[in-house]
Amino acid sequence: MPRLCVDEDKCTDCRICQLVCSARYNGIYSPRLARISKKAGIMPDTTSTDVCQNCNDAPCVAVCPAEALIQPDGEGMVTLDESLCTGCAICVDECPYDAIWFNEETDLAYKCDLCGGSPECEKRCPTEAIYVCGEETV
Amino acid sequence: MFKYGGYTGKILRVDLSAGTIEVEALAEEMVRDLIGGNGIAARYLYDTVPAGTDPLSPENALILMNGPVQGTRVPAVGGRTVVVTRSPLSGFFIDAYYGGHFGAELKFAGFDGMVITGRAEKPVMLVIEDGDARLVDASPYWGMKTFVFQKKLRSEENYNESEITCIGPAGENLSPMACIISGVHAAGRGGVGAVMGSKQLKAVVAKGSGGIRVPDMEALEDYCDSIVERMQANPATSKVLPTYGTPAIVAANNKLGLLGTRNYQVEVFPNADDIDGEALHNRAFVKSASCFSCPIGCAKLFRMEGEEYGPAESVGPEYETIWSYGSNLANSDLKSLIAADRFSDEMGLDTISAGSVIGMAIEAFEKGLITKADTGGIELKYGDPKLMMELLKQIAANKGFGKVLGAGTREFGRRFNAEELAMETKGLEIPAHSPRGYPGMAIGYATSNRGGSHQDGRPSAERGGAVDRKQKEGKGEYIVDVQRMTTLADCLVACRFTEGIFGLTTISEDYVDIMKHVTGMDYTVEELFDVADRVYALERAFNAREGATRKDDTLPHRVLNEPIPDGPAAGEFMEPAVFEKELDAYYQKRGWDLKTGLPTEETLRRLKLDDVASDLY
Repeated sequence: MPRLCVDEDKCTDCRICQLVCSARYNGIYSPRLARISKKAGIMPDTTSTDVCQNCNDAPCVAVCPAEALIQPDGEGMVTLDESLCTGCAICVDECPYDAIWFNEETDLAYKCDLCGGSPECEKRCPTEAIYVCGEETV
Repeated sequence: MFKYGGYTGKILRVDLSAGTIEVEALAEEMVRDLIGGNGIAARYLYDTVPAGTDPLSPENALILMNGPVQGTRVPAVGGRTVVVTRSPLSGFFIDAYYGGHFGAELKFAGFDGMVITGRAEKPVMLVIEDGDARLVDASPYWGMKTFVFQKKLRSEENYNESEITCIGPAGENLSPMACIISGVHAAGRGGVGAVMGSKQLKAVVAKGSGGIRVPDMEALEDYCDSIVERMQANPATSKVLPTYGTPAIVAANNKLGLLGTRNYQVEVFPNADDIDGEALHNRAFVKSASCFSCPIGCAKLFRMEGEEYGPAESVGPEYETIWSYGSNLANSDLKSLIAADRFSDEMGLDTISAGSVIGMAIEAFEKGLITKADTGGIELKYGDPKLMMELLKQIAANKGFGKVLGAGTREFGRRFNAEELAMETKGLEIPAHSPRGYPGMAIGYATSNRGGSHQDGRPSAERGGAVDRKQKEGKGEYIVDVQRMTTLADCLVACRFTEGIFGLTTISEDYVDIMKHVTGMDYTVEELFDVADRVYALERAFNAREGATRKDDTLPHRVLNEPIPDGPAAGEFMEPAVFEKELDAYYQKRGWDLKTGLPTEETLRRLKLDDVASDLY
C-alpha cells in the first residue's frame, strides 16, 4: 500500500511539509489544516508524524456512511470525495493513526491523498525525511 | 481582515498589575513605517516606558513581537520572535531574538505581538489561544527549570500542542543575565528573563489553528522555492551549517588567531581542536533540528555519557557558548561545555554574558584585583570546568558572589577597580567575534544600541573574505549599511543565516521581494533603508533619554590599547585615533550629530519621527 513514510532520524521538525500542504490545499499557511501532522517534545529526537497509512480494508472506508471515502478492492490509496462527504466526522474518530481531520470552516473531513502521486511534502522536505513507500507506487 | 498579508493586525495589551488584557488593532501606518518585529516593538517601548524607569519595576514593558513573515514558508524566518525591553543589565534598549516555533504559533493564535506591563500579585502565565488570551495561575510551576516546566505543561491536556516561552530560576531570581527560553531556544541577551521574572510572569503559551493569508500563494511558493535553490547552492547553508551548525566557526576563528581566550588576553586557544565543530560532530552528535520553516537545520542535539557536570545533553553549545565557556575560560573539556549549555538553558541564563564575566573574574583574581575574600572563599583559575559549573549555579541563584558576577562586567569592573578587564560596550558583554581582529565588527559593537552584540554589526563578511578584514578605513561607513541590513532583518524577525543569501553588507532587493510577496506592500530599497534608519533612530532616542551619548559608543580598554599579543593576528587592535575617525564617518553617514552621537533634529524629522524630535530637541 502506497503511503508516506517519515524517517524521524532525519526529520528536523521544520514543518515545511505542513506549510506546503496547507498552501496547496487551503491557499493559506496553516499547519493544523495540513494533511500531515507533526509533533515534537522539547528535544529534537522526539519528533513523530501522523499521516494516512492507506490501511488494507481501511476502517475509515468501512465506517463512512456517505461512501465518500473510497478504496477500490480494499487496498491501495484511500481517497476522499469531498462532494459526497457530509461532515459527520465518524472517520476522524475511527482512524487508528489519527490521520483524518475535520475542517470546521468547510465542515468536511480531510486527509492525505499523496497529492495524486507526487507529494508536495516529499518534494520539499529539506532532509529527504519524507518519502513515498509501500509495495506499490502510485 | 488586516489590509496587508502576513499580519493578523492584532496586538495584545496586558497589564499584569490590573489583571487586564485588551486587544489593540495594529495601526496600518505603523506597519508601513516600521514593518514589524524590532521596529514596531521599538516604537511601543519608546511610547510605553518613560525615561528613568527601573527595568525591574512594573512600569517597564516586556514586548514580544513576530513580524509579517512568521508562519509562512519564507525560508529560515518563519518561527522567530523578538523580545524588547529596557535592559536591567545595560540600562539601555535591548532586543533579544529566539528561534523555534513560538513566533509562528503566536501568529496562528491570532496575534502579531504583545505589550506586557505591570507585575502580577502571584506567578501567572499568559495563555493565548485562537484569538483569546487569559492569565492563568502559574504558582505550581514557579521554581521549575525551563525544560522540566515545558515538559510538565506539555503533559497537560490543555497545553499538549502549545508552544511555550518561559523563564527559569535565573529569571525568577532576577539575575540581570537571565534569558528567556522557548523549547531549546534562547532570547539570550540583556537580562530579558529578569524583566519577565520581575513581572511574576512564568510563561507565555500560544496555540492557534489559524492560517496566514498572502496576496498570491502560488507566487510566494515559487519565490520560496527559488530561495531554497539559492540556499542549496551556498556552501554555508547547504553543507557547513546543516552538518556542524555554528560550532564550525571555532576552527575558522582559531586559525585566524581570533578566538578569544582567557578573557581575550590572547586569541589563540591551543586546545581548540578538542572543542571545535569536528570534535562535537564526531564525539557527541545525535540529531539536527530546525526552527519553523527553516531548511538549514543548524541546531544540533549533542549528547555524551557521564554526568560529572550534570546531564551532558543539549541542543548546543553554539559557537558563542563554546567560546564563552570554552576558550574564554581555557576550558577544553567538551562534555562540560555540553553540560554547561544545558544547565544554562534549564536555568535560563545568557551563556555569553555569564562566560564573559567569569573569564573576567578569573583574570582579576590572577592579577590580584580580587581575592578569596571577594569570591566567597573560592580560588578562581582558568581551565577548571567544575569551578565554571559552580559559578554558573551561583549566577543563576543571584546570591553572594554569583550576584556580583551576574551584575555584569561593567559593574564588576567598577566594583573592583578592574574596568580595564571588562569586555563590554554599554554594559552588554561582547561575544565571540574578535573586536581587535574584525574592525568593522568592532565599530558595530561600539555603535550597537544594545551594546556588545554581534547581531547589529556583523562579523560574517570580514570573516569570510567578502570584504578586506584588516582594512580599517571606511569601516565606519561600511557598518552603517550592515546595521541597516540587520535592523531590517530584525523587523522581519529573520534569522542571520539568511544573510549569506539575501546579502551580507546591505539591504538587497530580496527584502523588497519578500515584503511584496508576503504583505503585498511595494517598497523600494531606498524606502527600506528609511525603515531601518527610523527603527535605529528610535532605539537610539530611547537610549538618549537614558543619558546615552557619543561617550557610550566606545570599545573596551583592551581593544583600544592592547594589541593581540601573539599568533596569526599578532599586533592587531583598534587604534583610538582610527576608531574616532571611523566613528565620525559613521555618524556622518547616518545623519547623526558628531558630538552627541544622536540623530539630528533634521534627521529625525526626515524619518517622520517628529514627536521624537520634539522630545530630544
